[in-house]
Amino acid sequence: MPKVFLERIRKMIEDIDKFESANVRQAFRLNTLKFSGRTLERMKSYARIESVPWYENGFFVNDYTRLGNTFEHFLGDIYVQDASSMIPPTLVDENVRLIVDMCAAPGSKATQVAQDRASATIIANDINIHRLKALQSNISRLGCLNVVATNYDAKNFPNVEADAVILDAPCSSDGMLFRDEHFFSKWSLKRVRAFSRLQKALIERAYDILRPSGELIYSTCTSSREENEEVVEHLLDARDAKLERIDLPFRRGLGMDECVRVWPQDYRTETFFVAKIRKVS
Amino acid sequence: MNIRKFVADRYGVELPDDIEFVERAGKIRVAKKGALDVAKELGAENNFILFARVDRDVKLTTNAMQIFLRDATKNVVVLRGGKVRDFVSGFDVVPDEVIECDGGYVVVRSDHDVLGCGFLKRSSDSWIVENLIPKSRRVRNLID
Repeated sequence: MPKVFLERIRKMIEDIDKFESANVRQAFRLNTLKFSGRTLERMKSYARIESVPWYENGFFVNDYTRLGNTFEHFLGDIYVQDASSMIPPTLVDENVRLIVDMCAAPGSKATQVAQDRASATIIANDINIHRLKALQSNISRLGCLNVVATNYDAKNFPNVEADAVILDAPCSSDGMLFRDEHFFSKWSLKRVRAFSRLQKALIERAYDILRPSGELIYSTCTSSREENEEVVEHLLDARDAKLERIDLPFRRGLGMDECVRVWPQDYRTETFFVAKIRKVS
Repeated sequence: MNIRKFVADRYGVELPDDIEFVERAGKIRVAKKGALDVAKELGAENNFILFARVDRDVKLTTNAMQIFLRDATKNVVVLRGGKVRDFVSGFDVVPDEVIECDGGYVVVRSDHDVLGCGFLKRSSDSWIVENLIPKSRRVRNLID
């Protein structure tokens, strides 16, 4: 790992050694729209699996397995998804009717919230037409009949009065570094700052399309403060928004106790950040 | 066309009441009631799950069959053992069991799961199921 990157991490956590040696696990989600009673038994025949503590349909896989080549994946009974990225949909209120996932491809959160909030309609948006095709393919494979795919630039998303918005923002993605050996060929501070600017524009639009008292779940898979707490601070300065505390057993945000940070050494997931914001009436 | 009646007549399945269909340019798409109104406002009514293609015949998609036709009683073929793997991999197969079939588009299933859509036809003295699983859905190296 580059020195400048490690120095940044060192300023955020004390257990840097554990961070560097983290051994990230695969995970999958049971698709309750399709799965049968045998699905979990069959998954157990491929690998040692373990429940994800924060999501009842999530399971860690403790042996490397080509999950995309399983019969259960073909049937749409499972979706391969990092366990940390299962957090945002669990934070969406129960009785919402219209949910927008602004940067949805390839669809992990949109399809998760589609199964868990089955009476809601979900707008799954992505600006990139190629990624949108992957999103539509996953929506179809998983049988999510309550999801509408759209292809807007999220910065100009139409007014919809959403009950909830999920903004899993494009980011410098250092949470992926344990999965991608070439990750640091793309990483730079300049890139971090560019993403931060984009995220600030996106979070404003995400907030603006909420109905009064609607909720915004903001997340990234990066550790950089510029893309996480700083983006939330930007929104709190720009709008009359209220930050809500997330009561989950993770480390807290940097100088922002209401938010949570998941570090790879904690549960062997990718790095992740989540904040929940309420639109003030 | 009346897709509900077609599915009931051909496959013996009554589709649920809480879904609706959009037909355009020979394609029928399906969504939960309510989702379509949202889609219309956003100009996205073509972005739902593809249910069927309508040409000279009606061909339900593999996704539609997996979602809705678990309880099909007619025009069903059953595969067992290695034939399930072969079908998922994209090969044509000889069915192990044929249930009330007169040829044409059929539900292909194992003893427990709907695999997808196939086209049943006569090949000399036996039936053969032509594989209609989309290439993007096929799994060449299925693990078990």
